[in-house]
Amino acid sequence: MDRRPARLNRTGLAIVGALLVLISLAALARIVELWPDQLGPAGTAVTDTRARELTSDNTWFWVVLAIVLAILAVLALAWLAAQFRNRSVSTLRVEPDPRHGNTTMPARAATAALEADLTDSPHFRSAQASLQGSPGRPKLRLVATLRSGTDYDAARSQLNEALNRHQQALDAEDLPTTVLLRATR
Amino acid sequence: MRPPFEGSNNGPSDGSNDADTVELNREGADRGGGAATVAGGGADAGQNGRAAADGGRGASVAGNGQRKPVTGDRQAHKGAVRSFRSRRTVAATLVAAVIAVVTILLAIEVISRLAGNPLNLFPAGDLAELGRETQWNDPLPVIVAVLVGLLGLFLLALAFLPGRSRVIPVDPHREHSTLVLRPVTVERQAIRAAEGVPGVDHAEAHTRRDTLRVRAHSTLREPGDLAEQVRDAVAERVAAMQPLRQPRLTVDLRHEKE
Repeated sequence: MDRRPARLNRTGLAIVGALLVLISLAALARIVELWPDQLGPAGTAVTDTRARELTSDNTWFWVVLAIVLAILAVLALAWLAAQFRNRSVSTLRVEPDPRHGNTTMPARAATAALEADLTDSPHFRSAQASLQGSPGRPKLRLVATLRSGTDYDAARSQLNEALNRHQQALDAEDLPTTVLLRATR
Repeated sequence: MRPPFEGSNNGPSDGSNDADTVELNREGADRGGGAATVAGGGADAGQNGRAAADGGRGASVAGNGQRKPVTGDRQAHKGAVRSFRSRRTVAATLVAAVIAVVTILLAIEVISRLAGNPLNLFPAGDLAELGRETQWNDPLPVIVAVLVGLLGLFLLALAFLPGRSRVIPVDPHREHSTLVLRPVTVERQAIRAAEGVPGVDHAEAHTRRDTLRVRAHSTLREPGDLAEQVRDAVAERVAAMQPLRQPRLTVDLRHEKE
């Protein structure tokens, strides 16, 4: 399975978490007067004279702040959009050797056939298949739901047969495949 | 067809209210089938039988009688579990959305003020006055700093802790394939196996970490070796599903009044 969304999310959460911890530690350091010469004494206002001079008498401060906020907004929106991105491959490259030309097919055609193969059997209630990765190196991800009370061993055999037929149809015996089998009540 | 499990009981077991702990050992596991030895302890769960080592896949047995998967199985198991670990999607969506909203509103406010036409999206005057009147050693900054720090630690934990996988990898019988089951799938198979034993009225099963707990209910006044039968049936059923790592099985037989 594609682990890039997980790496992106964990990296983003780590960066935000680290920043919050640093801000917290800096504030607490000032509160306990750990470095009064650098951070200032604890008995002064949160927005002291120095801060007010910086913000009120310098237009450039607000310009820089606006630019920084805009950049952060764009990054946050990109991170948010990544959560809803469809990572499925839309087309498959059927011809592996580009010297022989370039033949593609809609990935949906391949996955729909596999889904129909499974749901036509008495063992599976539903199946959702998708091809991820790249058109030249796809990976099959399949979520299959067993019918209530079905024979597990027969369902496993049916699953393997369907996957074999799917791979033969795509001429891709070494297609990396991840299958999640679920059961209903 | 896979050969049935062999079992041996150590310690007393009247099968009525004792929790019989069974650790599954798998010897000579291969795709053609393999013998397995079940070691059970009744009241004395510390005594476990030990299966012979070195089966068809060179399976070794740990000191507590539980099979240690060989290198290939272990790698496959680790890979499958890792691929289904939490992606932290919910946390990431919330954090990204909050940052996006706050930064966009702040940017609009700052730009509008630079343009000389402030939109007043935020109570800037009130916030500035609060900042002038609040000192660093007042309660409010302390509380805010602590809460911000705790939130940061929580996000760091989400980032670095692996999270639960919630899948059970099984042997896919195919090259280049990974097959996983939801724990509830294994639980339902265990329930069907337990309820298939004559004398068992109904059963429940729960999976927690690497342990499958089965509770069977019977109205038999003299269950005899019913607990053993349930254990064998569930163990055989679970082994037939061929998990890459055999779960530890606990069977609890409860007597119910008719």
